Amino acid sequence: MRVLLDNITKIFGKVVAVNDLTLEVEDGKLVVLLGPSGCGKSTTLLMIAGIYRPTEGKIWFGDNVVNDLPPKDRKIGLVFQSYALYPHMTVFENIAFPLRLKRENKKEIDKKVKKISEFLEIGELLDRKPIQLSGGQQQRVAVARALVKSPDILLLDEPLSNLDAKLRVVMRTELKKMQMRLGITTIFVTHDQSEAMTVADKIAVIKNGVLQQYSSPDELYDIPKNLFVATFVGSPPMNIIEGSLSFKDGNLFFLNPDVRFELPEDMKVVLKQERNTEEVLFGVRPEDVNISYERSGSQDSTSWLVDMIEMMGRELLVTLSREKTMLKTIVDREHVPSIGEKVNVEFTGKVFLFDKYSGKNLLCEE
Amino acid sequence: MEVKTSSVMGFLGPFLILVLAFYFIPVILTVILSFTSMDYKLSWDFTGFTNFEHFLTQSLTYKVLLTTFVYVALTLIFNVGIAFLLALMTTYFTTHENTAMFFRAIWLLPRLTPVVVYCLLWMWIFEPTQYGLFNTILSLFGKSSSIDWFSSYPMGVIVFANGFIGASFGMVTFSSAIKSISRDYIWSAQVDGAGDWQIIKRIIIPMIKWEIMYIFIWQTLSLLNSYVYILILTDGGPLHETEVWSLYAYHKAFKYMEFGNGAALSLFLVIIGIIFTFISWKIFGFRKMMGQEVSR
Amino acid sequence: MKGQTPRGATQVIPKRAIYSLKRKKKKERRAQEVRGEAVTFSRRNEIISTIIMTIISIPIFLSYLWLFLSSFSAKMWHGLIPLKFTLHNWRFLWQPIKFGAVMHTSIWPITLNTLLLALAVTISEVLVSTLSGYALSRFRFKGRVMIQGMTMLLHAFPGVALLIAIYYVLYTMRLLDTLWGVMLVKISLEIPMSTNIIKGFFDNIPWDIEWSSFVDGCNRWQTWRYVILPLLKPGIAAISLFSFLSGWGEFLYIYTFIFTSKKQTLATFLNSLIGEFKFVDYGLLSAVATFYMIPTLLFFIFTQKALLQMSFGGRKA
Ligand SMILES: Nc1ncnc2c1ncn2[C@@H]1O[C@H](COP(=O)(O)OP(=O)(O)O)[C@@H](O)[C@H]1O
Ligand SMILES: [Mg+2]
Repeated sequence: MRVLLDNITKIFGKVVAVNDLTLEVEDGKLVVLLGPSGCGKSTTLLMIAGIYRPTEGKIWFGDNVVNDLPPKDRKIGLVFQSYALYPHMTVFENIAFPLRLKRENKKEIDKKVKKISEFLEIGELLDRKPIQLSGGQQQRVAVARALVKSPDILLLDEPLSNLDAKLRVVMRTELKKMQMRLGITTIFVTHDQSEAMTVADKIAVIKNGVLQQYSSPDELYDIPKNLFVATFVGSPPMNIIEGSLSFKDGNLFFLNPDVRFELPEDMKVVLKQERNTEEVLFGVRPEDVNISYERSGSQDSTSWLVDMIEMMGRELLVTLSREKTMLKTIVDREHVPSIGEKVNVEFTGKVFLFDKYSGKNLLCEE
Repeated sequence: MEVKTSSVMGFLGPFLILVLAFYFIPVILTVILSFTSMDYKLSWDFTGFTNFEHFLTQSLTYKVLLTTFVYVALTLIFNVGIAFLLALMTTYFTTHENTAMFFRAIWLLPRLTPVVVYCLLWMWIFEPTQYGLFNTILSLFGKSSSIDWFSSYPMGVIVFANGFIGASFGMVTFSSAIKSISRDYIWSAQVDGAGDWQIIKRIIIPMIKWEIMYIFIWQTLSLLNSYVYILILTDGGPLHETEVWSLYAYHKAFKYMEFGNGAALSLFLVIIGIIFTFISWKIFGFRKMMGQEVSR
Repeated sequence: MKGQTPRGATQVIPKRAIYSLKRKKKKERRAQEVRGEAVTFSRRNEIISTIIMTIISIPIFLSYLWLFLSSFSAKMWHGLIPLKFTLHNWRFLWQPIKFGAVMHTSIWPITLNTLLLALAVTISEVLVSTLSGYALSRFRFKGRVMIQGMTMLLHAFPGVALLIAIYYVLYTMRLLDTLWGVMLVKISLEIPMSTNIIKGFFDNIPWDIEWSSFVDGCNRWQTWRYVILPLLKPGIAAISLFSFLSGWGEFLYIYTFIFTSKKQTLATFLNSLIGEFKFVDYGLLSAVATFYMIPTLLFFIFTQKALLQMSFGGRKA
C-alpha cells in the first residue's frame, strides 16, 4: 500500500520533533528513515502507526486519510528496537496475540502461526518464553508477530540495533530478502547509514525533524544535496576543506593555503563566473584520495605528512596533514606508509562543493 | 570486609537490643502468658490450656471470628481493587500529568495524617445527623431522613475508614509498577489490535501480578493485626458488631485486665503472622531465584 | 524505557509560532501536549475515569476541606458550607478547654510532649538505622544473613499483636507511664523497616567510590562526611520524615501505656475531646485537629513531590 506523509508536523510541548515532513512511500518498496538519534525518526514512525497524532498535516494510506484511524484499524505491523515481546506469554502466544484479539478461530490461528514461524525459521521455539531466546531469535519472533496478521505496511524501529555487530549484518540481508519475497511496503528506521544503504530502495535523511534528502542510496552517495547528507552518508565520512573558488586562464580552481585543485570541466559549466571569490567548502571522499610516494618535480610533491594510521580490516585509514588542513584517505595494505613520512596526494574521483553558509551542494541545481 | 565481632556489635548493638527487648522477648512472652491467668496484679499463675478451652466454648469467639473474616475480606476489596483502579486511572488513563499528580497527592494525605484526626474526619463523614457528608449527599438526592451509620452500618464505617488508607498504600505501589512498564508494550498491543480493556487485562495485570500478590499478602496481614481505627471509631460496638480478633484481644487485656486471656488470643495472630511471612518468603524468594536463573 | 535519545538535539521553534499553531485547534490539541497521545486513546475513557476518580476521592477531598473550614466558622450549612467566620473555636490556644465542670490542661504542654516524642523518635531512629544499615551492607560477619532474614521477618510482622507482652516488658523495666517507654517501643517496631531502607541506600553506594576517596586522601571520617553522607541524604530524609510524622501521630501506645494526663500527647488529648464533644461541638474539634495537623500539612506541601516519587511503606526492591 502506498503511504503518503503530507506536510506532517509533530510538536511535543516546545520541542518540534518533526517539522513539515512530506514523503511518499511507493507500494511494495522499502524506505529507510535515516538520521542521528533524536532527529524524529521514531516519532514519524509512531505517527504512521497511529500511536501519536500529527500536530499538523495528513497521513494517507492509499487513497484514505488515516489521521483519525486507531492503530488497530490501520493494518500495520510494528517492530520495536526493544522488540516488546510480552514476557508473560510464550512465543506462540505472542505471535497469536493479534489474531486472538481479532477473535479468529483456534484452528485458523494455529495454522497462521505455524506458517509464519516456519517462514521465519522459529518453528521450534514456540513453547519458550521470550526471556529464553537469544537476541536474534527475539527479533524474528517480533517480526513474526508483526507479520502474522498479514499487514499492508510493516514498520520497523531500529530493529537491528539490539543485536551484536555480526548478527546485525546477517539479519539485515535476511530482512531485505524477506521484504522482497513478501513485497510488503516497509518503513525502516535506523541511525546506521551502512545499514540504510544495504536495505533501502529509497532513503529519507532527516535532521532535527527536517527532511534533508529523499532519494535512492546511489543518488544519496553520488549527489548529496547538502553538507549534512554528504558527511552523514559514507564511512569514513567525506573530507571537508574550507577555501575559495577562483577563475584563472579559463580554468576554475579551488584554492586554500594548502590545497590548489583544478575543478573538472563539467563543474565549470554549472558554476558561473560570478562565483569567483566565493568562500566554499570542498568535499572529497577518503576513497577518492590517492597517495603516491615518488618524488616528482612539481611543487606540491611530498608535501603531506602522514599523521596517523588506523586499521580498518582489509584497508587502512590514513590521516594526512599539511599546515592547517587534514585529509583522511583509505589505503590498501600493500602500500603502507609510515608515520612521519611525506607523500603526494591526488584527488581521483568525484569532488563536491558546498556553500559555506547554507551547506547546499553548489552542483545541484534547484 | 571481614571485621571483628566487637566492631560489628558497636554498629548493630542498639538495633539488636531494641529488637530483642520489644520483638523477641514479647513473642516468647506472648506464648508463655497465654498459659497463665495473669491479671492486673501481673502475677504468674500457670493454668495450662484453660484460656484456650475458655474461648472454644464461648459463642462470642465465633462471632468475632466471623466479623474478622468479613472485615478483612471487604476491606481487601478496597485495598487491592480500588487501589488498582486508582493507579490505573492516574497512570494509564490520564494524559494530563497535573490531574494525575493532584489525585496522587490527595490520596497521599491520609497516610500522613495523625490517626485520631483521620478518624475524626470519618466521624464527620458518617455523622448521624444531617451535618454529616454522606447524609448531606443523600439529602441532595432527595432523601429526607438521616441515617445513623454508626449503629445501622458499623461494619461499613470501619471498612471505609481502613479501606481508604489501604487503597492509598496500594495505589502508590501499583502506580509505580504500571509506570515502569515500557510504553513499547502498550503501543505494540495497540497495534496488535487491543483496546483499553484488553490492554489492562492481557498486558498490565499480568505484568504487575507480583506487585498485586505482594499487596494482597501484606494487606491481609496488616488488616488482621490493625485495630486502631476501629478502636477509635466504634470501639468494637455496637454489640460487638465490629469487634475483630485483634481488638478482642486488646479489650481482654487492657479493658478487662485479663492479660492471660488476651495473650492467648494474640497468640493466634502471632502464629498467623509467622505463617504468612513464610508463605510470602516462599513466593517472593522463589521469584527472585527465577529472575537470577533466567537472566543469566 | 532504556536507551532514550539525548534530548535537545532538536530545534526549538519560537514560542509565538507554537502559539499560533495552538490557537488554530486549541480544543483538539489540549490533551496531547507534552506526552503526545495516541489516536486510540479515547477521550471518552479519560473523562469517565476522571469522573470516577473524583467521585471516589470525594470523601477525602471534602473531609479535609471541612476540617479546615469548620474550624473557622460558627455555623455550617449542612456541615459543608461555612456561614459565619469566628475564632471562637480556636480559644483553646489561650485558655484551657472546659467540659461541664471538668477543666482540661492547657494545650501547650501537651503539644510540647508530642513534639519531644516525635523528635526523640526521629533522632534515635535515624541514628540506630544508619548504624545498623551500614553494618548490614558493608560488613561480612557471621550471622549477618540471619539478622537480615530476621529484619525482613520483623518488617512483615506487625508489632501490635505483641502489645500485651510489651506491656509486661515495660512494666519490668519500670518504663510504664513514661514517654521514654513509648519512644523505645515505637522505634523498636519501626527500625527493621528503616534499617532495610538505609541498607538499600548503602548497597547502592559502590565500594569504588569509597576506595577512590581513600586514594584521594580522605580519612575514614572525611569519607563519611563528604562522600557517603551526601549520597545517603535522600534515605535519611525519607526516614526522618516518616518517623517524625509517625511519632507525631502516634496514638495506640500512648493510649495504652500512659496513664497520667500530664504526659498525654495531642493524639490522646484530641481523642478524649472527641469522646466529650462529638455531636456537640465540631467547631472546637476541628480547630484542635487542624492545629494538630499543622506539621503534617507543612510536610505535605513542601515535600509532596519528593514523597510521590518515593515508594515508601518499605517495599524491598
Ligand atoms: N513523548 C515525547 N514527549 C516529549 N518529547 C518527545 C517525546 N517523544 C520524542 N520527543 C522528542 O522528540 C525528538 C525526536 O525524538 P525521536 O523521534 O524519538 O528521535 P529518534 O530519531 O531518535 O527516534 C527528541 O528530541 C525527543 O526528545
Ligand atoms: Mg528512536
